Amino acid sequence: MRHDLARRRARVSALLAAAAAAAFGCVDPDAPRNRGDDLEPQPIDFAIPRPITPLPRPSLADAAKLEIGKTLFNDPRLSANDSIACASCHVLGEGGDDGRRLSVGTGGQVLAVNAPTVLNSAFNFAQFWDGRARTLEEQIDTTVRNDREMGGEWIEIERKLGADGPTAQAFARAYADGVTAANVIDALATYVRSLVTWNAPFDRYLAGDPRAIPEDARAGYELFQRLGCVSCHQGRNVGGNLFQHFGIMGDYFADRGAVTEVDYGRYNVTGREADRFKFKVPSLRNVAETAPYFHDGSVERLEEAVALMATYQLGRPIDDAQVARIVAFLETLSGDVDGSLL
Amino acid sequence: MNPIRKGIPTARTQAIVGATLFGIVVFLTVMASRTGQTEFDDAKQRLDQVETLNLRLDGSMFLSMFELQMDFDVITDLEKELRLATERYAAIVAPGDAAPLVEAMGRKLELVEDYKSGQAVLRNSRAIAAQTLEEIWDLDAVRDRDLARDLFAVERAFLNFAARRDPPGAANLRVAIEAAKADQEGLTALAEWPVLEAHVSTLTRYVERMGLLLQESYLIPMLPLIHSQAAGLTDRLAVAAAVAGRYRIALFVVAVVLLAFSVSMVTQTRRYLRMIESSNDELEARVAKRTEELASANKALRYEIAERENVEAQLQMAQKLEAMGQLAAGIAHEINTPTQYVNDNVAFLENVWRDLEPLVDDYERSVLTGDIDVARSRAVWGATDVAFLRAEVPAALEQASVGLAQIGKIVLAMRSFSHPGSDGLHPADINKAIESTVTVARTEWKYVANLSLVLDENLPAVPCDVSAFNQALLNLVVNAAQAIGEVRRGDAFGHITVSSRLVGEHAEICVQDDGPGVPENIRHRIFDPFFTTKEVGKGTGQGLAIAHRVIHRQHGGTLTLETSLAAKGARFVIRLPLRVADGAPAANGTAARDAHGTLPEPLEAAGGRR
Repeated sequence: MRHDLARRRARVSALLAAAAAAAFGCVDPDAPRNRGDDLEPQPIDFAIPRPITPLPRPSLADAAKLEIGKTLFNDPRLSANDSIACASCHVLGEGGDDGRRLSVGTGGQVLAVNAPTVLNSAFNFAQFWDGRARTLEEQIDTTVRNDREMGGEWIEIERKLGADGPTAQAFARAYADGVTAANVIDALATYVRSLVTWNAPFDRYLAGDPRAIPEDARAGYELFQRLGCVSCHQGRNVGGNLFQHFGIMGDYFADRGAVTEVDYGRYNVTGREADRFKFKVPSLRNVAETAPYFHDGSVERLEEAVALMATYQLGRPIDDAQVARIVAFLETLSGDVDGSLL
Repeated sequence: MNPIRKGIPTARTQAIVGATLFGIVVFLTVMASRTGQTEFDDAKQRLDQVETLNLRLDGSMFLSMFELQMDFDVITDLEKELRLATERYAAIVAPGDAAPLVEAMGRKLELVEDYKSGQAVLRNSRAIAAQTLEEIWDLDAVRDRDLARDLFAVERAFLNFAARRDPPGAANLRVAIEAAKADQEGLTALAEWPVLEAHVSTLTRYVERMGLLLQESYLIPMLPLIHSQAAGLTDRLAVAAAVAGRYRIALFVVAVVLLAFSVSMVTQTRRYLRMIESSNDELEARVAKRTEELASANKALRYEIAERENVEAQLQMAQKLEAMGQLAAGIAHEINTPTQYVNDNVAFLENVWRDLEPLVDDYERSVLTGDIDVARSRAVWGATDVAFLRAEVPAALEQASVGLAQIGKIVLAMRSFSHPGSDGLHPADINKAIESTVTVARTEWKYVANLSLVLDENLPAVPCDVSAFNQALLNLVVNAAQAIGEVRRGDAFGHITVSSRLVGEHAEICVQDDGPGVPENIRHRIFDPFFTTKEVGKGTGQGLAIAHRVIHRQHGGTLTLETSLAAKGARFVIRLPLRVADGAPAANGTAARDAHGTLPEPLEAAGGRR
C-alpha cells in the first residue's frame, strides 16, 4: 500500500492533485480492503481526465458456473409453459437485444418498453430503463417472475431443472446446494457479467492505437465531446451510470404524444417529481447493433436517434455531416464477446 | 443397612441439585463470555468501511465537480459500495439502531444521483454554449464592431462563470446577455442566439440548483452520524461487558456453591462407602457363622446317614437271618427224609451181611481147607435167600446213594445261599444263584405250588453281590408261594415260574406266580417298608422293601411289579445291568429312582406281602 502510494505520488506532479489524492483518493492507506472489493480506486491520471475509458476484460474464471449460465440463458424452462428463454429477447449475435420496437413476453404479450441489450449490462449502475433493479441478480429475478415477461415460478423452475439429470449434475458440481433459485440466478448473473465487448475498435483507440478507428470516427468523437453528448454518455460503458431527463432542452413527450405510465421513467420507482421523465442513460456500447432506439423503441435508424438526441438534449439541431461523423464514432463502439460464450 | 437405604433418595435429590448447579454454571459461563466484543469488532469494521467509503465518495464528487474526473464511473461504483456497506452494517446491529444512518445515507445517495444528472446538464449546456459562441464568432454578422464588443462581453461573462460557477457569475452572465440583447438586435436575430440564451439560462438555473443540492448534501451530517453510531457501538459494548461482568460475579458465587456442594458430596460418599464397608464386614461375619452352623449340621447329618445305613445293613442281615431261621425247619426236614432211608437201607444191609456170613464161612471151609461137603454147602445155600438178596441189595445201595446225593445237594445249596456277603459287585453266575435260592426255599413252595425254572443258558456273568441278590430273590419266591397259599383250595397246586434271560444290556430275572395278584389300590405301596397285607405277627413288611433296596441301591438295577391282563397273579421283574456305569449306585448305597419315580428312602423303603 505505502509503495503504491509513493509511486502514485511520484507520478502526480501538481501540488493540488497530490493534495486531493491524499485527501480523497487514499483516505486511509492502512484501512483493510473491503470484502469482494474490485473498486479500489484506479490511479487517477490527472493530466488527462478522460470521459470515456476502456472496458476491462472480463474474468472467465468460474467455468462451471459460466457453462451453467450459458445453458440457462437459452433454456425456455425458466418461463411459463417453457415458451421463451432469456435469449429470446437478448440475441447475443445481434447486439444482445431482439430488434423489436417492443419486446414480446410469454403468451405473446407485448411489453411496455424496448428490450435493452444484455451486452456489458454488468457495467450499468442499475438495470431496466427506470433503474428499478440495483443488481443483475435483482433484474434476473424480476424478469423471470414478471407475468408479462417470462412468467416463471422459482419452485416450478427448481423442480424442472432438478428433475433433469445432466443439469442437476452440473449444478451439483458447481454449487454445494445444487439446483436452487439463488444458484440459477447466480449462474445467469455470472454468465451475463462475462458478456463484455472489450475488444471494440474504440477501446483499442483508447489504448493508444490512433489507427484503430477511421478518420471520421475520430472527428465524430471530437464532436461528441464538443457538443456535450459526453456529459451523460461517459465512463467505460459510454452511459449507464446516471439518470437523466429525456428532454432537457425540449419536451419530447409532448411532441411524441400518447404519454403512458412507462414514460414517467424513474418517477415510477422513486415517486419524486424531480424524477419524472428521467431514465437511465443507456450505454452506447454496440449502439449500432441495437436498433430500434429509446425506451419506446420509436426510432429505427441510428442517424435519426442522434438527431433526435441533439434536438431534445442539446437544444440545437446538428447537420447531417455532423450526424454522420457521430454515427461513424458510435460504430466503433461495437465489439464482440468471446466466441466461447455464444 | 438402614442408613444406606435411607440415603438413596437423598443421593438422587443431591444428584439433581448438583446437575442443576452445573447447568447454571454452564449457562453463566456462556453469558459471562458474551462481552459483545466480537459483535463490536464486526460492526465497527463495517462502520469503518462506511466511513471510508463516504469520505471517498465526497472526494470523488469533489474531483468530478472540478472536472478532474470526467466520468461518473468512480462515483457510481462508490455509491454502490457505500449502499452495500451500509446495508451490511445495518444487518448486524439491532434493528432501528442504524436507522438514522441508513436514512441519511439514502438521502445522500439520492442527492448524488441528482448531482450526476445536474452535473451532466451543466457540462452539456456549457459545452453547447461554448460551441455556439464559437459558431457565432465565425458568422459574418460578427464583423460589426459593436456587435463583436457585446458578444465579447457575453463571452467574458461566460468564461468567468464557467471558471467559477458561482451565482454571482451566473448573474453577471445574465446581465451581459440582457445587455447584448438590448444593444444588438442583430445579435438576437441570429439563429444561434436562442440556443446560446437557452443554455445560459439552463446553466444559471442549474448552477443555483446544484448549489442548493451541494449545500443540502453538505448539511447531511454523515460523519457525526457515523461517529454517533460508533459511540452507540461502544456504549453497547460497555453495557454488554457490564452485564457479562455481572454474570461473571454470579458465576463465581455459583461456582463456589458448586464446589462446596461437591466437597459435601465427596464427604457423604466416603461416609456411605464406610457404611457399606462395615455392613459388608457384618455380613461376612454372619455368613461365616452360618457356614459354621451349616458345617456342624452337615456333620450331624452325615453321622445320621451313616447311622441309618448301619441300621439298614443290620436290618437286612436280620431279615436274612429271619429268612434262614424260617427256612431251617424245612431244610432240616429235607435233610431228615433222605437220612432216614439211608439209615433204613444201611440197617437192611447189616441184616444182609448177617444172612451172607454163613455162606462166606462155608465157602472158606470148602475152598481154603478142602473140607468139601456138598450137602452142608447146599443146606447153607438153601438157608440163604440169595434171589431176594440179589434183587434188594443193589436197590438198597442205590436208594442210600440217592439219599446221600440229595443231602449233598441241599447242603451245597445252603452253602451257596449263605454265601458270605462280599464288598461290591463281582461277576457271578446268576442261574446258579437262582437254582440254589429256589432249592433252599423248596419247603416254602413245594406244598403249594410247582416251580419251574426257565433259565437262559447263554446268560453271561452279571456284576452281582450274590448274597444280597439271593436274599432278594428268596423274598420274591417266598412271597409268590405265600400268595398262592393264601388262595389255595384243596389239593390244587399253583405254579411259580422263575426265569432268566438277556434283554439288551440287562439280565432280566422274572418271578411269576398265578396267585391273586396285587390289588390296584395298593400297588404303589408294596415296596414301602412296614407295608404288609398279612395279619399282625405273620409279616414284618420288610421283604419287598429290602428286595427293592438291594436291587436298586446295591445293583443299580430295577425291581418292578408288572401286571398283564393275559396272566393272573403277580410278576416281579428284576433287571440288572450287565455293565456297571461309572459312579453308578452299585454297592455305594446311592439311591436310584424306582419305578414309581420316588426316591426310595432307605429307612422307609420296602414292604409287601409275606
